[in-house]
Amino acid sequence: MSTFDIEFAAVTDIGKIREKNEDNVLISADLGLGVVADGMGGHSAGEIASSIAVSVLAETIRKINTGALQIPDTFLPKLAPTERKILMAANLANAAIYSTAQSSEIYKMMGTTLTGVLFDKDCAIAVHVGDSRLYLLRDGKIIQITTDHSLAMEHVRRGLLSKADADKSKIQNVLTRAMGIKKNIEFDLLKFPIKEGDVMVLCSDGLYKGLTEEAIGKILSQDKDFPITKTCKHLVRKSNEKDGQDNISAVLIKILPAKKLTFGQRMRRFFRRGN
Amino acid sequence: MLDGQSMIGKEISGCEILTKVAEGGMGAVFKARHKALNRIVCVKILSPALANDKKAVSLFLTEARAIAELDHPNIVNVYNVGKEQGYYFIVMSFVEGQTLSAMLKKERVLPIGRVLDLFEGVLKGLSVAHEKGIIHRDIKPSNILITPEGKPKIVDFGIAKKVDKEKGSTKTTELAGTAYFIAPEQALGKDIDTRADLYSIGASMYYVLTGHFPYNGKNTIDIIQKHINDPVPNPTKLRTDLPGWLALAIQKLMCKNPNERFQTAKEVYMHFNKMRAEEQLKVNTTHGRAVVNLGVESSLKIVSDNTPHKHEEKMGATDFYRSAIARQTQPAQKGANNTQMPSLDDLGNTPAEKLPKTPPPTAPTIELVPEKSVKTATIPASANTITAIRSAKKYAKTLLQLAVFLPLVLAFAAVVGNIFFTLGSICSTYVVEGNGVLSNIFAPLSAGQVAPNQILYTILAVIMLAGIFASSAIKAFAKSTAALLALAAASYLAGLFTPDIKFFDTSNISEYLFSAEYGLCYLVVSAAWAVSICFDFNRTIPEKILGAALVIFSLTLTYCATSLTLHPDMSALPTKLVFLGALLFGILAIYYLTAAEQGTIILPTICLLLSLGCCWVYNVSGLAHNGQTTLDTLVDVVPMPDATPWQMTSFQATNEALNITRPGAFKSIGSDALIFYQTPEERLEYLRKGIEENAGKFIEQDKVPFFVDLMLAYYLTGPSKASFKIWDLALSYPIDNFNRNAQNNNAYFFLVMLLFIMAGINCAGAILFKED
Repeated sequence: MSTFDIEFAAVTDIGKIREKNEDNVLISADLGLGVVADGMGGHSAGEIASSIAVSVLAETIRKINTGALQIPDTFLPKLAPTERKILMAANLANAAIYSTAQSSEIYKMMGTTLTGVLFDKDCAIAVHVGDSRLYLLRDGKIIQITTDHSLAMEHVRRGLLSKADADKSKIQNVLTRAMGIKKNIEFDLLKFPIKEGDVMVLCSDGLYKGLTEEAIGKILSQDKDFPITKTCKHLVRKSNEKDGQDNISAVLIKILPAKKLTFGQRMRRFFRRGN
Repeated sequence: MLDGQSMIGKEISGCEILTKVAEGGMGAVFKARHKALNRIVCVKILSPALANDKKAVSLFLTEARAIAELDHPNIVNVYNVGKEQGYYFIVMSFVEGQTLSAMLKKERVLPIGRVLDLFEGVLKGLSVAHEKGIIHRDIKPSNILITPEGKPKIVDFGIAKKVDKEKGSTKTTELAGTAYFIAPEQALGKDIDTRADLYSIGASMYYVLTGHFPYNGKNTIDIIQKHINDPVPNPTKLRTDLPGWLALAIQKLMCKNPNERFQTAKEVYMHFNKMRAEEQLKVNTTHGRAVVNLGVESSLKIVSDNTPHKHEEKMGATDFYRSAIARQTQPAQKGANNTQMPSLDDLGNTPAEKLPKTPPPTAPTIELVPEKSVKTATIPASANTITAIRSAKKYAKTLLQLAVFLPLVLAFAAVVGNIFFTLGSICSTYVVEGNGVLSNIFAPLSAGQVAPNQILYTILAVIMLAGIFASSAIKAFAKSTAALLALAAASYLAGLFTPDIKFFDTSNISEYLFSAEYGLCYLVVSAAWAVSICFDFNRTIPEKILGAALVIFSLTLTYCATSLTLHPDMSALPTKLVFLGALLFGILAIYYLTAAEQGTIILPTICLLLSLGCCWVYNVSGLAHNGQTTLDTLVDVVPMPDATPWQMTSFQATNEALNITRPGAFKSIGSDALIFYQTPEERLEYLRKGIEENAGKFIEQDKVPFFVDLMLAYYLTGPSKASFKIWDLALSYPIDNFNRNAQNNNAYFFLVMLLFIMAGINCAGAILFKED
């Protein structure tokens, strides 16, 4: 759990032209978790993949927290407990989607992106695969924390394509990594300290197709005194107005000042930390 | 749903499905018999996974119909397209024969003339398709069928694959085209035209003639990017008998810029014909010395960028995790942009520029420079920059922390020790020799009068205690708390019992290092250390081993240090229970310390203390038992003539005995009064006389005063308080001994010194081995 008070909000919208919403979002204050997953694949397979992704991720974290599930000692023993927790959960989610995909012809080729943040003490730990994004607004500046796993971004990374061209490119939706496509996939694990006043946005590609990074940052800065649920809706609405070709999802996370601890909590923390 | 077995025997569009020929991501291809025409055909069925995408389906049908209109000997004929029984299908002519790639595998090397003949056919077919505006998108040797007569036929026009290319289409992990033959503009996702097919023709010719793919790489992304970026390879390097004009033609076909290529398929084969006529190239079938290395050509499925896709299946979970760890643990050394794709560095063709040190994670000052971001070095730093920095900086930080916190802990310990010692020496005026340690420790608290500086120092001591607890919130201090608490206690006792020795006088300790009294010092240190490990929330394995060893060591020390000449009475049940309790709690403490779940801190601590306590009690029980029996005998032999006061449990009884009124009774009886003798002196005198007269007959003369005290306690306060006194004396006997000797051997300050060192070690340990 985090030392900060954290506010979560999530909105998902089908967009203007899609028949189904293949995105799935999840926020859980007690787990300190926010997730966005953007499914792909015909039929309703995309929805299924993304819903498996978020639910297995959250459920696994919950189980590990309550002790119902143990992380095997051999699982990335060098990482910190929370990092292992979220990676373990992400790997299980991938395995669940992969096996479902293999189970039936309809689900074959289904997959999903996944971008999730788990808070621990004064750190945020993000797990990421695919082209959903995590933005961080700090001191009025917005940066993209995650790197898209798309062919276009691979080209950008190699200097073959400019970022501006990549945003317009047709291969933007060709992913180089996604959950459910392979038995074992590699997740990006990103850890960064959080600060009071930070705002994080987790979003599916629908959101950033309609709004540029600057536009997102601007809306966040403008709405900084509004409830974040409102800001979250505002973001999705704006993006839908501008583009709306895809499902749009956003999870907004705001770091509030560290809460004052009661004496009991202080004692509990003292004993928990040990001496 | 689309498995071969369930489809076989079904009838689609008048065709009876016979066998499955092939299966791909887009669907499956079946051999079928057209019933009406009694002719073998090929039926391609769209994967149900794609069949629900309306846009995909409409494109599938549109383009299939367009191809059906084409009637060319070099293009596989399409007879029918449509939907039946929920399946989207294409009925095509069935071509006997093999694909060009299969043929190449079999024959190893194809004569140049033959290759040119084949490609002329392919180009002719392509030319017709291009004229209708149809782009194949996936020209490759395995999409060129060679009939038994040697005629090429193009199959698999990028029908369903077009779906992926449409704007606003769904996400996918597949890209139209095949990595080894993909045109740069196609790989970049730009708008493509018929000239992309010409690039693929060039790449295919390169492969068919040389036996090598034009570009090879670790993975598909790598290959694709080479198509975009790397100079066009010269095929004559691999096949020396290749005519120069052909090598040039292939290179022209493979130009990065479509405008620099041949512009139409027709132009290509016209060029070929012209050049062949000029050279009158003789076909020499024996000309095949070049080594042909046939790679595997497969549909472009984008695979994870760290894995060469050939080894994809072999790479086990362990490898995956290992590689993941490698990536996670060295982000700082690598540049911001390549942490997720380390394979790029290994290729050596475009090494990422060495980036400046990553900015500190808390202050992201990244400029938004979308225009310049093309260069690898100026891409806005992604989260990789923010990943924890583990580098030399860390060690410098650790050293700095050591330099700051270690002296702080030691200074704090010294202050705590001094204050508690002073408090102890002030309180030492209340100490009565011959009383138990427990009575003496609490004597200052229950004293009627206190000196002002005692109050001052008590307040200071309380503040210090609070300070010790508060300091445990600082990580560096956290592990020293137990040592500091023990140090406070030891300093207080040192002041209490050895007030005459100067604080921290450790001048002669070396003489006594292995004496029994110092055993108690070692016990306190090891027990405090064990407790501090018990109180660690996430114990590492070395800590667990150390903890278990300390528990055993403490138990052994307790046993040795408290062992007396009077042995416990093992026949008595309570003694047995206590002994077993010591063992049981010891084992439980070790269990909770090592095997139990993380986060168990209270249980091992309690078990450890109980175990030590039981061991202590067991060892002194002999002494206590002896004292108790002697007292009992004495009480039996030295009876008090009248009713003893503790038997008068209520005022009622007193009233009855004396026949006096209640207020009178209050006046005449003190709460602990022996009512028959009005003054305390009288009472004591009476008892003492009786006891001394009789006790001498039963016990050694030098123990008489002690038992007189006990018996007085017995008669004045009752048997239970007398028992308490016996146990207090027995339990504190080792400490009394210790106190007596401490006047000479400075044992208390040895203990304080050990705890002082331990506090320092624990602080250093907390800093050096902190979890990160």
